[in-house]
Amino acid sequence: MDKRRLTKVLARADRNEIAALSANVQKSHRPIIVKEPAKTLTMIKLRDPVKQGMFYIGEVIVCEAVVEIDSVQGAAVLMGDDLEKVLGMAIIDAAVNLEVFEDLEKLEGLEKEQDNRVKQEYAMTLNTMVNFESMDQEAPDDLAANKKA
Amino acid sequence: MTLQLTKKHSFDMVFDSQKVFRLILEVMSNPTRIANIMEYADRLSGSNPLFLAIAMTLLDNEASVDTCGDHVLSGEIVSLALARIETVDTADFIFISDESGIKDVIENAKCGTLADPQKSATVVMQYQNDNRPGSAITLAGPGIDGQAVLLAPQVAIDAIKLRDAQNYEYPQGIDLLFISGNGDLFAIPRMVKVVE
Repeated sequence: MDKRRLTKVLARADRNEIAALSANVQKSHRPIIVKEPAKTLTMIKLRDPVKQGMFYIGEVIVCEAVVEIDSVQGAAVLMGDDLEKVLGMAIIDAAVNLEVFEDLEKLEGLEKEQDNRVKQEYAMTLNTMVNFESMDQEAPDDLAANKKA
Repeated sequence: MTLQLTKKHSFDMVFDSQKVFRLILEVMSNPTRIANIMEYADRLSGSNPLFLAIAMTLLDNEASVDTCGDHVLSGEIVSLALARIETVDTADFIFISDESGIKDVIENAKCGTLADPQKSATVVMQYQNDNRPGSAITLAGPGIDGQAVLLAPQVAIDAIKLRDAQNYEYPQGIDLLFISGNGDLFAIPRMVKVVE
């Protein structure tokens, strides 16, 4: 499981699920906190859907933590202020980096569950979707091509 | 998540940084005065806690740093202070503990521009306690009432003389911070010169 997928699953998971997974890691390993979980602010980058340019929509509160298991570091950043969850995520990340994480199947199960939930929510809102025909001729050509496809 | 985890560093990012900052400010504004930061460096673990205490205090994600080839230290600085690693001629802060490299650092560190003299490097140099005592030099400049005599290890004296020999255009120059192995810190800011 690559880092992008791992982070996505962990960030969407419930804090109790994270706590259970990180407790499992702590049964066999002793994580050391390098950077205590703390709140901080970060800029959020968005892509403008019309002109396709990147811009900063504003700052959002996040929490971050860094831990170490056998001098291998793991880090996590999470939107919101759930300090315990971010610490658990960092511990799981360190275990994955050290290649001692044993619950990969559980994570994959979680991922499937989350994907299904997202699909269900999407299906529920799909029939309320409005299709805006853009009259703006300034939209870049590649965007128009995307729409046709 | 009920297990109690141990912390690698007990250094408080806010309050201990403030205290170290006050000490650095004190030595910078009173050249030749000595302050000790060992108490705070002891709260950090790593390859070089003294450098790390200064880095935690002075650096953030907008500052760049060069550690003169000490990859362990640069890794720690990046993960704790989030600073960028750059080369000796572009870094805002240069940490050096190898005495043989000081000539290269002083000759290549950026000294700011006439319009922006503050865009110069701060060199933090560590010397060992058992270093042979050097000759005394007399210094004058901002922060010194008249003249002051500095008695420091030869390696520090050499560094100060070497910096003066660069003949920077006023008000350019580089700031020097010296730290001993037991945490004694003193500073020779860029406008302080050796009086012959």
